Amino acid sequence: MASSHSLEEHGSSSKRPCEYLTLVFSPLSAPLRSRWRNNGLSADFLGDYVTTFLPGNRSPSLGEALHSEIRHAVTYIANELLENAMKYHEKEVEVPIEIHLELTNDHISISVSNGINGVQGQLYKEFVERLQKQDSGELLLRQMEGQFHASESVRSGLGLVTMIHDYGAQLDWEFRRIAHHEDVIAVTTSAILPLSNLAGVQA
Amino acid sequence: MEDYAPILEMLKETLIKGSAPIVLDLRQLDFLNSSGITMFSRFVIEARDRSGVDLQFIASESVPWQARSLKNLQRLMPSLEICLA
Repeated sequence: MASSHSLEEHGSSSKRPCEYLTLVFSPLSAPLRSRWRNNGLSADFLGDYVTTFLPGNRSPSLGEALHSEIRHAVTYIANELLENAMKYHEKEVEVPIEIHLELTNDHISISVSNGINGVQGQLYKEFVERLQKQDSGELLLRQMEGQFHASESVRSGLGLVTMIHDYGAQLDWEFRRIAHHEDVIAVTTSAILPLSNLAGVQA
Repeated sequence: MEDYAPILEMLKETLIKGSAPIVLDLRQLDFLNSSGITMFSRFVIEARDRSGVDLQFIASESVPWQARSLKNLQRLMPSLEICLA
């Protein structure tokens, strides 16, 4: 199974000091439509949460505007990743949907994990290959131009392209097999935001 | 995206019924997900494809998504005017 992963180890096992937070959602308890509001609530919470630990809280030189930028970037990215995960999650397996936020002294990472079926997994891998090969500006333009006729999987990709193009995020993916479920793939999508990219924040 | 359909329809009606210029004041719109960006893309493409549409967006520099993402719509329609207020 293809695998690509460059994040630091998560949580307390990481050698670098970091703050982290993980939310885990049971996969079967609510239909997609009622999940939608919760995606926004969760994303807002993560955006607010991370600002507590920003260097600005220890240094008055970081203004409210920078906090607002970072809060918004985390909220936007978390919301997009959660919406995709809820939309494509394979409901037939008891795999939770998980979002993990991590703040180190030089970056913020947001990772979302969920299970998808083999067909969606293949489509997603193909889209990831395009993201890795093509210029994000050109891809963004084509995505916006092509919305009228785009397939479902491509349409969802606009969120990922904007993370790269508009927010300077580095994206990373991991695809894993799930024991006893041949047709389901566990996918983790991670967005890494270097703090230096966010309006000149100095950690 | 389907939740944005009524807004898109309303916006498209302004292209048919409205008189120039068409001005959208977005300053109070604090957050927009990618489906919302898709909706505005469709609207701007529709405006571009009708010749002679004078379209303006009023935006706020202090709303992060507007400062980051609105300029992408100008690539779809170079005559789109974005006024940062």
